[in-house]
Amino acid sequence: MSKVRIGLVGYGFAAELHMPGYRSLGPERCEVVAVCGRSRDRAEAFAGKRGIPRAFGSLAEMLGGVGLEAVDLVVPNHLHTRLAIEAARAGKHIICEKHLTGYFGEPDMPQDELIGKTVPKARMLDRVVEECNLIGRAVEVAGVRFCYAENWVYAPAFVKLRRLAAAAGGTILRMEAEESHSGSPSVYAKRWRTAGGGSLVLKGSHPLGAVLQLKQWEGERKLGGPIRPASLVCEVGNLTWIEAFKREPKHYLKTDWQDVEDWGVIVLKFEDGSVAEIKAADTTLGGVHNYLEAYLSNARIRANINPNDACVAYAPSGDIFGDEYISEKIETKGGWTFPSPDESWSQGYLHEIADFVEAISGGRAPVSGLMLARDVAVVLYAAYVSAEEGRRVDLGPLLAD
Amino acid sequence: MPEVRVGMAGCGFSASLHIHGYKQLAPERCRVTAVCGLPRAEAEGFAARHGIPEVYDDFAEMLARADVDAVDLAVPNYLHAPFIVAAAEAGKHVFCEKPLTGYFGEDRPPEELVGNTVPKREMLRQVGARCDEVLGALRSSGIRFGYAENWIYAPAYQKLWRLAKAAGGTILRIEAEESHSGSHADYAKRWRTAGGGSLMVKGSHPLGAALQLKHWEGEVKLGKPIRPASVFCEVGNLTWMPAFQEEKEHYLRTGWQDVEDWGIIVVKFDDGSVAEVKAADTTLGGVHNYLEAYLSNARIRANINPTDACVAYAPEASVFGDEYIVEKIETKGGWTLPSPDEDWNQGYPQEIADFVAAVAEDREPASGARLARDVTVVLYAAYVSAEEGRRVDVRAFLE
Repeated sequence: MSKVRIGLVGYGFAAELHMPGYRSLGPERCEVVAVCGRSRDRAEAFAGKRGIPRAFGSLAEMLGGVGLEAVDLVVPNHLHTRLAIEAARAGKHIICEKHLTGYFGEPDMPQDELIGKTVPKARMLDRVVEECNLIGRAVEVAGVRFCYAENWVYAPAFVKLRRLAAAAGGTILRMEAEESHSGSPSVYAKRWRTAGGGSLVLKGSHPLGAVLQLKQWEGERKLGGPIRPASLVCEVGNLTWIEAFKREPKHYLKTDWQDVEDWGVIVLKFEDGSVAEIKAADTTLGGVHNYLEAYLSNARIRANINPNDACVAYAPSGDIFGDEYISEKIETKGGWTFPSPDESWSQGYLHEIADFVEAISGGRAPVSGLMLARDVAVVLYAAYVSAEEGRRVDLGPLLAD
Repeated sequence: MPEVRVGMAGCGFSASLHIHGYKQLAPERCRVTAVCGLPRAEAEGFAARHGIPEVYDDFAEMLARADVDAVDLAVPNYLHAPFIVAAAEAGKHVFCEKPLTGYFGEDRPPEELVGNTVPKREMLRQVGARCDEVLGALRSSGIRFGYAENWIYAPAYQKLWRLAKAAGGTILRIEAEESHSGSHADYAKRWRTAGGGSLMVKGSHPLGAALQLKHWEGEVKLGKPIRPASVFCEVGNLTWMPAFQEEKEHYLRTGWQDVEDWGIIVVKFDDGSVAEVKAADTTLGGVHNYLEAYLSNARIRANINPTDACVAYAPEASVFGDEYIVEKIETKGGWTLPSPDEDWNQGYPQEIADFVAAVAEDREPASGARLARDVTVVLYAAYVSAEEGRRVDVRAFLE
């Protein structure tokens, strides 16, 4: 296998998340050779801090200035389409943070417009389908690999679930999956214009991706082709807008969601008749709550992605454990807790990068690829249409390219 | 407190369950004085087993007795509504198994699979009218009506409600489920006898518990109940999947005729809060009954069954012999969660005790006619939602 040279596009949080994965593979298998971004200064600072040889002020400069096999798009979602197409046209393989794309408004709309309230979801869905098709065609024409960084697909508990499901061999009848916590702290998560949606987009995309991948995998294994989602119904809500909640003097949950939901549930039906319940909330206390449970005809398997009871602790008050990390978004370190021994391992961040590098150098498809990326984006916006119009949405025509 | 004399209508499984509850109460508080059932021989056997002095095969005759204060309706679902009305007219208090009523295809030929043929909207219309009739009869009679929703009385659920009251936060979201690997009884597999599928037979429990929680919350905080506003529902038949049907060995029950074996109802309440209510006849691992409440300042889960009060392991299934483990568990091997006392966990003796006390003290039982009607109407509205593929506003159907 040849060494894969990677160019990072972006130097923010997601870039930090991907770096340990590349590092852990060793320089003979892959190397991050360059980083680029809108601010050359910040790109240079990131490169200096991380020991990356080159820094550039744009993707075009990086593509012209250094030899590489793949780019890793760790930039805000609204830039994915343009950059993915540009990279594909240059013949580079693509690693793309979620999401593939979304709806973030139009150039002529005022920056402060609350597009989650003003733009019909059906129009958003049209745009997202269109962009997915553009990316799909660019990738196909260029013949490059597309790797979708859905870490749940690589989380060890989920991978074990898939192996157990393979061993059992039974039909996956029903899946239940959720990602929730007490709310994103960042302002960008609270506006459609910057986030592209609410809880379902920012959190629900993970359990949704895992569920879609599981049925894809089941179909490929048993029938020689993926089992595709067929229809959905969805409800969304703003639980922190409830009058009784607003009157409470103290809030433990994040508030100020502007035009995006803080809770949602998608009920998916697949073409083989199986079903999935996908839930997401920014209104859940007790730390992050990430799991997937699969109900097979001859087995039942639960993947507790985070928390799990690998480590269980108790402290009579919140200060006992001092600065030691417990788990994502837990409100107090007092009482019983489930401290996470290694969150980036249990959530699959290292494993996803390893698969991408191997797929690119070995000339095979990654476990999490373009079909999954596209299905997640389209299903999410179809779900918003369902919730807004109060009707079931048929996915068949939307997913046929 | 005066003694409550009970006439038992029915002599099957749920009659036995209820008798057990009456027997746990002190004899000066209540006594089962009569039983009515068909065929008469079976009712006589039931009476002999449980020491009940009088046996009838005609409900009207039992109602005419002066030494019956209350009747317990453990009869087939389609008899609930007419029996309640008859009992109310005779001035007898009523304790009724779920559901209050439903659509049972009385207006269609007996062989017709009404779950496939009758539009759910028509069912909802008929069920709504029947609920109005029953509630009207109850209101004008002034009798006490107990709805046998055992979840309301389950100790874990009661504890959840006390914790929620102590916390005082807003109940933002409720998640609740009743599932297992499928009812054995044939009656559960046809709409005509069951009045619906998983959602009706199983989902009515978590639905009732979720509705009651918001009802209480509203009464405590606003002086008026918080009511369901809309439902969005999906149902499915997972055991009809071709891949499943091709499998050689089935661990799940099959043979569902015109009823769903899985369903989910997403309820929105008039305060903006939500509930996800799930039911399945396709779940392995034993019964799976829980309710989790997400409050603004607390999160509370009631594990109704199973719980981890007792945790056991056996290297093979034969180790525990005949000792009971838990409802619908497929094997006693491996790790299990044996139920120390399933009746107690699930609130069966508690619901009977509350009904008897309500009659003796002339007060409303915790689970009454309003909840019974709400559950029935919301369920059929959910079926309309699933069939028509759209959200259904339930406010108009709930007065």
